Amino acid sequence: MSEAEYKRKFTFGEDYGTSFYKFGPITCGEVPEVVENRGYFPDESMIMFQLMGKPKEVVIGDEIAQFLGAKEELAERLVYPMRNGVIEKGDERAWRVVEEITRYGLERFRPRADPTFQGFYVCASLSSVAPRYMYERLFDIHRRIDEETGLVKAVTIIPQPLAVAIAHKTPTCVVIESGHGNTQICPISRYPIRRAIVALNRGGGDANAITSQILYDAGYGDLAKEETIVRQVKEALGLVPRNLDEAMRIAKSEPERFRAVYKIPGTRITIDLGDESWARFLIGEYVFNPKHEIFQSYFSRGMPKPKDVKIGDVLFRGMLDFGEAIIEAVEKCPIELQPYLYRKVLLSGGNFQWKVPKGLEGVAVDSATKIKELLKEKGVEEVSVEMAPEPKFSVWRGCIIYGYAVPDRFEWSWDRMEGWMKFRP
Amino acid sequence: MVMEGRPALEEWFRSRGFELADPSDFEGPSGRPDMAFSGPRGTAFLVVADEKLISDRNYFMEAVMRASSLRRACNYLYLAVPKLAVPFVDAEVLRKHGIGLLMVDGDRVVEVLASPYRPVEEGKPGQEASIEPGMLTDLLDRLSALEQRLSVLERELMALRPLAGELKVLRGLREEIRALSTRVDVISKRLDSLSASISGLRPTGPVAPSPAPPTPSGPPRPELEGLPSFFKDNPWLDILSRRGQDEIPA
Repeated sequence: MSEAEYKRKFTFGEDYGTSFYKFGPITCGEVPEVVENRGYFPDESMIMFQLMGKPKEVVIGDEIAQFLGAKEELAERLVYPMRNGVIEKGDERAWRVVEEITRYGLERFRPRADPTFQGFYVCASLSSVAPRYMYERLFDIHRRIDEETGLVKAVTIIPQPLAVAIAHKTPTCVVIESGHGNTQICPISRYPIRRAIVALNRGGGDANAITSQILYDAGYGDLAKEETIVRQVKEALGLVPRNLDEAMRIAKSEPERFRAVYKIPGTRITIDLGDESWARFLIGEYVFNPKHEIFQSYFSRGMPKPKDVKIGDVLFRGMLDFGEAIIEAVEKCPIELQPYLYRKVLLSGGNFQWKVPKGLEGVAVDSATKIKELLKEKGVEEVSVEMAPEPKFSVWRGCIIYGYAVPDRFEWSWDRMEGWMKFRP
Repeated sequence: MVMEGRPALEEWFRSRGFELADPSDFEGPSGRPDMAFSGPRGTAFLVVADEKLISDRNYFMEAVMRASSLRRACNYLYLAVPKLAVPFVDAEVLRKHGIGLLMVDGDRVVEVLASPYRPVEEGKPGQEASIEPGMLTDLLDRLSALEQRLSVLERELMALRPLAGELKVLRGLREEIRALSTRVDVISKRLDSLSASISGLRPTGPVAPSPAPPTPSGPPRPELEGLPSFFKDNPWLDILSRRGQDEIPA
């Protein structure tokens, strides 16, 4: 069987997203399997386990629902390993979850009775700011799984923005991947231009934080503590303003037109921001540009300000707006390349899914328009910004194409951070 | 006859302490054994039969009767038959008459039925063994049963013949599939090598700055048919297939 024929059956993609692990072989077609990227560490001292025997060290997938107990212990026992895109070197519980989820994913697609199967060509994807030790740990995990199961013929790891560019058939572009905890801006010209990557310590979680504060101010202090409700409100009521000052002025003068009302499904609770409905524009603005002076009052009342943090060797910037961040990333690339990069800016990730309700067009905008506005303010005009269609599966699709196309003979190189890592002689 | 099995038979008896003797020394009115052996434990006679007993029932009976007539002249008595004929031998008849059975399979001899020790009747060497009338009737009955069994087997064999034809056709198909699979492998390898050659002919150019992204055109590549839609017209397939050559990432 030729390499191409083998890979048509046994190329495997893995996207370690902040909230979900998307995985599956090329034979899945357009859509992979999805499981929440989290693990639960049961309390072995519980009476239930003393009666029923020792549980697994870490529980993943649908089984977690059987173990969820009090809210207080969830924070301690429920681990989202990729919540911030980067796992701390010594965070053994997070790595344990990654290993268990990876094993689950590969076993889920173990071919039955196929004598030609010698293991998958696995292409995994990590955040573009993942430090080298994360690559080493992920290779180790796959090696161990292969030793136990024979499921891994070769493995490679690529940055998520590269996978997005591949899935969208764009060899030269800037990919902005914005997840729950952080945002990565990565220029790509056939390779990810690593030295030009800009990372922001801001993501969907920060939009949740300001939504919570707005709910508190509107008299819904009890709901402001419920993470799921806050997220629902953000998605239902949050708007991105074309220009925040202008949007607030119009919304305050036409309160009924911009009134924000949301009924929580399955309950009797209706949230009505009433005269404070203009604040719905703050939710979107905060994601794209937290530097507006209006946010100072929130910071002074205790809302945490996004800080610059260093994880591994990477500095995650807190307060840079998206426009500045794109310009900084592009200007780290050769001047000749810069126009081509601005010509295709791809937005990917759940943090760009902002709606424009009917009747509010012009005042509220989508993510692509907002980015263009931010760049225009800074003198960058010839820009094309696109939302990646089906962003949820882009990374997995890119992984599948990468795994299929990169030749088996191209061995892993730590200098290039590319190629196939093989564990068998 | 299993004459070609003689050395093996000699070896088998020798390993049990018997030496080859001249059968003519034991000739009597009932004839003589095909092979004879003597040793400290006494004498052993051997009557040798061949594949003929599969098709000729009288031949088997004659062999048994001949052996039976020699029973009183030796301590051990065996009928030796080739492996193919063993299923056609009625061991019950042999057991009844104190005759052992040896199976000869090339150089290998297997004792299927042991011969019991019987004392030689001194003073009556060569005396023709009398055949009891009941014994003959019994033999004939068993022979008839054997005939019936054989005819049933023949009918079953006839019924299997059409299946044999089908099996032959299936074997032919399997060979054709194998041949096709080999051809597909060869063609696939040629395609891969052609694709690699074409890639090698294209100028790779500097990595950065990159010109405007190539616009995919033309019909879909045949090797991509059946793959998910995101493979279609994807310029990365060519770019990635050249990974590991001379490009250096930025």
